[in-house]
Formats: sequence, structure tokens, C-alpha cells
Amino acid sequence: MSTVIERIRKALHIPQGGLSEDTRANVVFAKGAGWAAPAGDVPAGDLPGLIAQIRTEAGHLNLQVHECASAEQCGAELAALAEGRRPEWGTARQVMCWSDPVIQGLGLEARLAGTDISVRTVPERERFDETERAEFRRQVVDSYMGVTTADLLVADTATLLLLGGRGRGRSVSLVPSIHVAVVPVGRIVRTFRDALRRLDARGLGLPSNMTFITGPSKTADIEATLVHGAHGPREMHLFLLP
Amino acid sequence: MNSPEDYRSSAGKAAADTRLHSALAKMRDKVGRNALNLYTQVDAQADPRLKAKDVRRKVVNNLDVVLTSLAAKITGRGGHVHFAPTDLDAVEYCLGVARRHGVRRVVKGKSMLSEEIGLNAAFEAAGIETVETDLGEYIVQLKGETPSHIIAPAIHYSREQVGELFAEKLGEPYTSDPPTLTAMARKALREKMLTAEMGVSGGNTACAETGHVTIVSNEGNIRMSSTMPRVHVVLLGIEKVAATLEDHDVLLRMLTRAAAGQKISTYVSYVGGPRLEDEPDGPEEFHLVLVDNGRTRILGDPDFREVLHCIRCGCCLNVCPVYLKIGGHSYGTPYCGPIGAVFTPLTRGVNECHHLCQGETLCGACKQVCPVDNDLPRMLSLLRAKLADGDPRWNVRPQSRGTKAAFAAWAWIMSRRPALDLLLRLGRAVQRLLPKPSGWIRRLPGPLSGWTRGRDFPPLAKESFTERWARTRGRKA
Amino acid sequence: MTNRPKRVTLFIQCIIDSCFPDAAWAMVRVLEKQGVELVHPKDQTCCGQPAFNAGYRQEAARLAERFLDVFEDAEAIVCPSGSCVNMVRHHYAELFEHQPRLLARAEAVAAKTWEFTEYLVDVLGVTDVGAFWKGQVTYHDSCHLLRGLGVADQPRALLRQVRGLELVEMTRSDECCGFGGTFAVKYPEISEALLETKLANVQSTGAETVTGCDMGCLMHMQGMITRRGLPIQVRHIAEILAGEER
Repeated sequence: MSTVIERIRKALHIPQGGLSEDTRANVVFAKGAGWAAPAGDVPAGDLPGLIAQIRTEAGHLNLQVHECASAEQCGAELAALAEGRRPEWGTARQVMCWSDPVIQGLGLEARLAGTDISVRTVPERERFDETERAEFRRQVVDSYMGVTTADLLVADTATLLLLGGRGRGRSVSLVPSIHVAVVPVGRIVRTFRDALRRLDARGLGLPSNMTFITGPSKTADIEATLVHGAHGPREMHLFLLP
Repeated sequence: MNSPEDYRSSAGKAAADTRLHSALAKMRDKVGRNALNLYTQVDAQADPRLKAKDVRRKVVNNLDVVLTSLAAKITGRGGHVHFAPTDLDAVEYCLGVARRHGVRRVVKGKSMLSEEIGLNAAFEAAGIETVETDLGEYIVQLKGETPSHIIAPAIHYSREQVGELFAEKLGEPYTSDPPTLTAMARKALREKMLTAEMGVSGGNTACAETGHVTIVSNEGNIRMSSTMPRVHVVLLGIEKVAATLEDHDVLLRMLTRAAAGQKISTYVSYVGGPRLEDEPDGPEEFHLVLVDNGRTRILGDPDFREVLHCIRCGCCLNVCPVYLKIGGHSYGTPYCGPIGAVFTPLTRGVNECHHLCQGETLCGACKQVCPVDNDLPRMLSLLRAKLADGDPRWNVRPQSRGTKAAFAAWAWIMSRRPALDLLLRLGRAVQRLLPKPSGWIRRLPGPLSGWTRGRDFPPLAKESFTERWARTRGRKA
Repeated sequence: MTNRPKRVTLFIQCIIDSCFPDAAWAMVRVLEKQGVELVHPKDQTCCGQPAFNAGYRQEAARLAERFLDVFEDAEAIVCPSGSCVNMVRHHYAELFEHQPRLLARAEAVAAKTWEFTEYLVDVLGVTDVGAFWKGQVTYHDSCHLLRGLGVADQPRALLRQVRGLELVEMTRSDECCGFGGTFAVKYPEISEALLETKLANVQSTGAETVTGCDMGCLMHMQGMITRRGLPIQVRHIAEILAGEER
């Protein structure tokens, strides 16, 4: 029993014979009335409006939005983007992708086969040894572009939710200078609240790591002047798939 | 920590520093005075501050339950949770982790708590290079100073000063262009973040229900510091937690608006343990250090428990007329501004910090913008009462017998109209002797002389309102 | 708008009573012009705020209890000072938190105590008091009046109806002037710096006159204006509202 917990109980005058810990826990972790109801999928008719909202938000964030009619179009545009960019560090060009059907469906490796750009995918393994981890790390550090999908896309603020897990990699959306997120529009929710409700509805099996990402990195630490591009990616693209 | 004399002299210098004022005015105008507009965006129906306050109150009043749940979930994932009763204990724990891993370099995300416990100095003394990665903290660290604002640590520097600093310390050509300066820091810090063995960050809140610490940032440095090094240590005050994901809906939206005028920050990370076996990256070890360091004592006093609701957004700083004039360094403590004026005396001694309790006007601007509806003026007023009459519970000695006697005498006189009338007549006689070149009193003697340093003082009128009413309107009950 | 009482009991702030009685006489003229009968309890002295503000709650409580004795038979209590009314309305309850009978008495008195402009607009339902004042005037929102009592529109509504007066808003009219009671004496460096900013904002409007509802703030401003010979005139709002055609 931690001294600190004891001190807390003493400070709160948790009385003898007062509410049991379970009862208190029930109160503390109780859900509000409007929370538990499942947040259904957004009706298809609402999507254009929400996408317009995403575009507006993205404008303020320096997030570049590409609407694609098909995976084919998306793949072509993404390949063109990769070809048009020079790396920030060094000269070698490498793209690191999450291992995910959405990304596999773009055929990037094939499209960039004839170029100097190498395309790598995060290995899906049950476990990694030290060498394998070090290798993966080196490859991410050497990548000028990281391609991920997103599990949810919040229209209100153009925010992406990236859950951690197998075949993913936290550093892919962080270390390369350019972050590309490819997201089917069916994953759009309206608000941050809706996103949290969806997460909650998954039950308590949330991964040990997840991140909400809203645009490329920025800072205003010098004279409160906004500068895009701090330590995280300095450029970010959102590709929307049907 | 500043002594009262240091406070006075720092504040005096800063009060004349117009460049500091215009730097802080940016925080005031962009964030502070805009806060109420931003809050109305959060909820059209009910005041979101009251909801946020309810959430915080619920958690603080059940802190044992919440922390126990958080700890259990994190340890269930293979993370380590350490409850640190004191700052020294927290530092010892972090040093222990660092030593076990042979850590030579630590990268840090911004953490006011790490300032509070003196972590950097302890690491440096142990020969561990400690690099701040938040741009503002990095600047301040290169300068060898401490942060002057909870959210914008380097707000007191001009871009020219940053340019000179980077030219000197990083060997870069001088520039005062913020994007270029930021790119210099990006390059310098990337190498550090990729080679450090340990990352230390603070936390903005936590979700006890799911077992995650929530970290909010714009720069990406905290994500880097908590993803790339082998070990990630989070320092979190015991009160800075939430119970459910639903709580986060309100708290985070208020935090980012109050702190930076943003609907949401660039990154909101939920970290709840080390990487899993099948994750290709992420820290192999995760430690959450929950720090008490005086907070449970505050918890035990219902008058002050509310101060633990604070979510460290810094909004109160951005509207405090005193802070905006004297800047963060004048306070001489990690937490400055109105929140610092209450939290610091309660954790470091009310008598020792009496200047913090008394050095503001209780104008109430902080209360107006606080996203969790804290009443800091009420608590400051209570601290003043303790300084006036003492309080054994908080080890407060009465500050000044002389002032007590003066107020007691004043109250005695004010309890008797004839005594007051007599005093006024005496006063009118005495004031004839005081210099009044422009009609008002130029110099007051003794303890009141502070007023006449730069202002004249009004003389007593020839006849009080009461006297003239009695004279002209007769006796009316 | 509440039922209009026949009789108002005057609660005159100690600073006004002893140093600036003309402001109180101006309030008397304005109220009598509205047909209000006035009473002034001669034994009144002080609401206790200076002591409370400095932390001396025992002394403040003594004066607060005395205030209740002096005023509780009144029908309506009107005061030309926002901070005093804030003391009665909010801090008396704090002082008597653990004394139920005093608390009840304090709450009863608080319910019938108003600041002057609040009383005119919210109780008497009047914004045009038939006043004259030629020139540009800027208004200072004093802290306790604004944030404690929520009074901001009423003074402005009254000023806008004054014939010949042009109301000009200053930048950050709601920013503290730096008075803060004993703060002004104990921390003069900071207090003066805040005051300088306030006066600079007043001057930037080009208005000849600054007004407000709290004599503490106004005398603070006048103190530096006199010392530095600044071309600003300071008037309590009562004096403007009592202004007559020349």
C-alpha cells in the first residue's frame, strides 16, 4: 500500500463504514447519459459537408488535403508527391509505410519501382529482437516520408487518430519530415467527443499507445510567432479514399 | 526561491521593462483576453467551465480510487508505477532508473513538475546530459535560466536575443527570423532525441479508466522523447488525472483553448505502458512517477483543495495585470502568476512566500478565465488572513504585530462614530503640516510613504459628508 | 426591476465620507431628483473592507456586524462604491460562514444593498437622469464592480443619456488600475506600473475626463495625475450624473 495513497485517504477523510471503494469507483467511472449510446456511422449524405469542414480546418493547419476518387488515383498522386520531394537530411530517398490493406492497395512499390525511391513496409512480427528493432529504427530515421492510415478522422478539427499496434510503428508518423495519412472517408466522425465515444465503445482493449494528430508540427515559442515545422513532421498530407 | 526582497527588486526592474510587457501582451491578447470567446465554442448550452470543474472535483475527491485504477492498468501492461511522496524521492527514483540503464543522455519534454523537483540539476550532477527539447525550454536552458511562463517558457526573449543565443551556442549564422531559428533548433535537437537512452516528460492528464497518460504538444518533441529512447519516464502530479475518456472530452478541449487559444493541439498522445512485443518501436520500459510533494496536505484542507483542480493551462498568467507587468522570473518559483501565488505558499511555506500572497490586487481576472472555475482570489484572501492572525495548521506565524495592532486600533475607532469624527478633526489639523504643493498631499510619513513615492494622496475634506448632513438636514434616524 | 422602495438609506463609503463628500452629495441630488426619500444613519462608519482585504478578518467581522446593526432596518441601501457593495454582498457571507444567525442577517442585508448605478437602472428602471455634461468621457470598469457584482452596462447606459456627453471606450477598460487597497502602499513599484498603463489608456482616448464608480480607483488615478500634472480630469460618476446645464 503506497504511502501516498494512504495520505490521500487520510486527507479525504475516507470514513469508516462510508461508501465502499467499489461504490465510489462506480460513481467515479460512471458514464454520462448521452455517452454510451453508440455513435453510429456518419450518413453518406453528410460526408461532403464534413469533408468541406476538414478542408477548411486543414487550411489553418498547413495540412494538405487530397480527395481521391479511387485507390488508383490516390496511388498515382502519392507516388507523384514522393517523386516531387527532396529529403531534408541526406540524399537517399526512402518511404516507410504501415503494413495495412489501405496502403497496400495503392501499389506504391510498383509505381516507384523505376525511381531512386525505395519503399519499405513495417514488418509484421510477433516479436522483434534487438537487431531487428535497431534495423527498423535506422530505416525510419533514413525515411523522408512516412505513410500511415488513420483509424478515425475528426471533421471538427481535421484530426487523425492513430492507434498503435502490429505492423504500424509510432515513429512512422513522427520521424520522417513528411507524414502522409491515407484514410477512407467511412472513418470520418464529426467531433472529438464522437471519436472518444467510438474508442470507449471498443471496450477496454485500447492499445498501450495512440495519438491524435492535427496537422504538421508547429511552435510559437519565439515571440508567440507561429512557425510550422518544429520537431515532428514539417509537412503533412491527408489523402481521402472513397 | 526568491526572498521577498528579491521579489520586490525583480518586480521593480521588470515593471520598467517595456519589451517584456509587449512580449507578454501577445499572450494576453491572443490567449488570455480571448479565452472566454473560445470557451463558448466548447459548449453552447452549459458553461463548460462548470462541467470541467465538476470533472476535476469528482477526481480530486476520489483521488485514491482514480490513481489505484490508473496504476493497476499501467502495471497490467508491463509499465512501472512509482508513488513519490517527496521531490527528493521522485528524483532518486528517476536517477535509479537512469543508472540501471547506463543512461548518459536524457531528452526532456516540457515538465513544470520536473522544475519543481529539481530533476535537471540532479541529473547533471550525476553526469547525465539533460537536454530540453521543447523549443522554449531549450532556449531557456541554453541561456542558463528558468522558464518564465508555464506554457511559453521563453516568451520574455526577443527574436534578436534568440538569434544571438543560437549564434553563440550552436555556431549558426546570426538571424532573427523565427522559422529559421526554429529550423536550427530542429536540427540540433533531432540528433539528441535520436541518441538519448531515456526520455522524461510531464503529463497533462491521465485516463484512469483506460490506463493512459495524456500528453499534449504542438512541436512533436514530446512524442519523439517518449518514442525513440529505450526508456520513457513520465512525471505527473498526483492531482493531474481524470477518470474516464468522457472526462477528456471536456478537459482537453478546455486545456488547449485556455493554454494556447487552440481548438486542439497538434499532438494528443495517450501512452499507457511499454511497447508490446509485436510493436516495432516504442520504449522498452515505461515508468510513471506520481508525485505528491505537498499536494496531499493541500488535499486535506477543504478551503484549498480546489487549487488541485488546476490543469496548468497558464491562462491566469495571461490576464493577470501583475504577472503581465513583472514577468515570471520575478516570482522566483517554477509556478508563477496567480496559480503560483497560491500553490507555492501552500507547498513552500506561507510566511516565506508572503510576498506572493500579498503582491497582487485581487482583481479577479484570473477567476474569470480559469477553465475549471477556480477561485484564486478567495484562496489568496484566505492566505492573507493566515498571515494576519497566524494558523498552526499551516505553520503560519502572524506576519506583523505592528500591522495587527494598527488594524485593531482602526477597527476600534471605526466602531464608534464619535471616535472617527474626532480622528477626522485631528487629521485635518495634522494635514496642514504636510506638504501639498498641488493641493494633494505630497509626502505621507512612515508606513504609508509607499503611496507617495509616485502619487499624491488626497487630503481630508473640510467637512465630512456625515457632518454636513447632520448640520444641514437635522437629525434623521 | 423590483418594486420601488419609498425610502433609500445612504451607505457612504468611508473614503467618500472623509475625503470626497461632493461625490456623495452629487448622488443625493440625483436620487432626490428621482423622487426618492433619503435617510442617512449617522452612526455608519465603514463596511470593513480595508481590513478584510489585508487579511484582518476578525477586525473586518466586528465592523461587518456593526454594519448589520446600523443598516438592517433599511428598506433599500444604496452606496456609491462597487467594492463596498461587493464586500457586503459576497464577503460578509464568508466572514459569517460558521455563524448561522449573523449569516442570515448578512444575507438579508445583502439582498437589499445596491451600488448606485445598479440601483438607478435595475431598481428604479431609469437610464436618463436629466443630466448635462459637455465633453468626451471615458469609463473605467473597477474590478469588484465588474467581476464581483457584474455591473458594466448600467453605468454606460446612464452615461449615454447624459446630454452633451460623448462616451469613448478606452483599451482594456476592465484592466486593474493597480489600487488593490494596501497593495498600493506595500508594492508601489508594481502598483504604479499598472496605474501608468491605465492612465496611458485613458489618455489615448483623447477624452478630457475619466469616470468610474469606485473612489479607490479614482483617487488612485488622481494621485498620479496630480503628481505628474497630467491633463486628465477625474470625476466620480455621481458627479457627472448630477451635472447641470450651464
